Amino acid sequence: MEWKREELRVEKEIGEPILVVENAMKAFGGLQALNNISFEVRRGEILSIIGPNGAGKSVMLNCINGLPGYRLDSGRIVFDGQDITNWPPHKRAHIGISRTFQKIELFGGMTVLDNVKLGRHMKMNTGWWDGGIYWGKAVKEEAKHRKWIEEKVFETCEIEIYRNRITGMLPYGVQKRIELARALAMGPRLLLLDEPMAGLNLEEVEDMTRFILDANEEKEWNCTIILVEHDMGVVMDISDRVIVFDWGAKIADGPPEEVQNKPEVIRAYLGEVEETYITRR
Amino acid sequence: MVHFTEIVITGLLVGGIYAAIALGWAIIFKTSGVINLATGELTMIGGYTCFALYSFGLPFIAALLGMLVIAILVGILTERLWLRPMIGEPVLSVIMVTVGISFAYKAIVALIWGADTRVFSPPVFPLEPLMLGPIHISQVFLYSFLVAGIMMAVLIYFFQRTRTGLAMQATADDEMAARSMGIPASSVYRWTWIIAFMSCGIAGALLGNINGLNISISYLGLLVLPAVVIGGMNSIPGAVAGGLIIGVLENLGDAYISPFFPGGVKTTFPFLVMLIIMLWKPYGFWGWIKIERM
Repeated sequence: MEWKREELRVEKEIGEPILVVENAMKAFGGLQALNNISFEVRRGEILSIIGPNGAGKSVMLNCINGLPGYRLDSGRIVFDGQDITNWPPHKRAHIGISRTFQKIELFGGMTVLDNVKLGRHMKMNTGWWDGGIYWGKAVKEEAKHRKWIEEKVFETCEIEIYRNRITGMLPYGVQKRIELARALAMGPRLLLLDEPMAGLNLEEVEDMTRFILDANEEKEWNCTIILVEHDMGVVMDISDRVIVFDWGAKIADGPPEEVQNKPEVIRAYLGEVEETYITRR
Repeated sequence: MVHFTEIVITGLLVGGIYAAIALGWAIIFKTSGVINLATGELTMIGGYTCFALYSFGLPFIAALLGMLVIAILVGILTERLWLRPMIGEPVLSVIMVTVGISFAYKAIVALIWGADTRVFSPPVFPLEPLMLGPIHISQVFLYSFLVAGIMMAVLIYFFQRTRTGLAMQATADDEMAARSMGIPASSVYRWTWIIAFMSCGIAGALLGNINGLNISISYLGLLVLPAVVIGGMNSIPGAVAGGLIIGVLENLGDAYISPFFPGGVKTTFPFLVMLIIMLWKPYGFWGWIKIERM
């Protein structure tokens, strides 16, 4: 990509920590997937987690999201002052944690609009009676949310033209965007993105980068973002901070430029000879 | 011709009851991917509890409503005790659990009510048939059809138009995504079992009025399987339509084929048709055809 990090960044305020992970331990059988991991994410920043395959990045994300089977063996996860370590995923969604998946998990049989609307369902209050007869309050509420989705979400992710298509039949790159749109529709405070660039072509990567920055910077969203990504160009361009995992342990934590030049990072992740990889732009 | 019309109409009316059982199959399969082999036992429990309440002297409608309340409780209990711990386990293991549930429930019912056939007495519905022109329609069948129809309309309404129903559909499509979007999967499964129990229970109570009740009513669950398969395992309206089709097929087979091949045609004929339809439409008439993008 031809742009430079400095051109992409806007001045923004990075606040106090919104998510704190303390001494997280997680083992699967004999494999220590997370080994005493601690870090914090500050309000408003884009934090990238990088590391070789199998380093525990996605495990960390799933633990923050609370998927079944991903409860920490020990350690704590605190979100906005609340200890959410043992909360089920749906409760975490209600306090503003939203995510996309490495392997797309959309409602394949539904239309794009329905997918995104489902992301919005938590913000609706209609009971079973109003929703059922679909009259009065329910119609108004639905119209309000749909308008919001059309104006804000579709606009941000540029998927308006697909709104009535069946999701499962759309191209991969578009599905990735729809997943981001659905996650945004929940109005999250913390957005977890698991390899949003995987499988995208260069142009799609540029678009997706733009969408992620919008989600982070625009007033409408102002999401704090945790990004797990292999595309070093993107990571170095848009991250405020980067942490590096290797074999379930955190080996570096700091601004991109600093992390990039740490010898242990280069050794663990990039291989000693492949210095070109890290500077891919 | 009159004979034929009578056969088809009676078939449709009985099919209404099958449809209620088929709904029980489909709703569990749709949300959790599990083929619930205890479906017949849900029917049986519904039949016997309604019978018990009726025998206490309650009016039939009250017995039916009481049965629904018990069905809700047993549904919650079943899900909580045996299905909840199996969330996330392989589907095949869960199906084996439902086999266990089926034997256990059969045994419990036999323990309480014994193995003899029980009949609703006095009969709930008038015995003399209604005459529509030259066509005889048995009143039991007609009212059963209406009751089953109302029940299914309510359940389908619930499934399609409420937020709990929406949550069930989302979970059916992609459980992982549904969970991370604020949908509690466990409560979805609880609702699924409640609905299956209610729907099958109603069918059991109505069947009890037609043939009397005994343990073998639980085999009816399997006899309805072709309905679900023909309709498409994950389509609720498909299951209902399939139930009606099976009702008609059974009656036609009984009337026109049995005279040539005596014995059992009534129950095997729908399976034969199911086989042929499977060859032609492997997803059933209304099932999801998923074309994967590779």
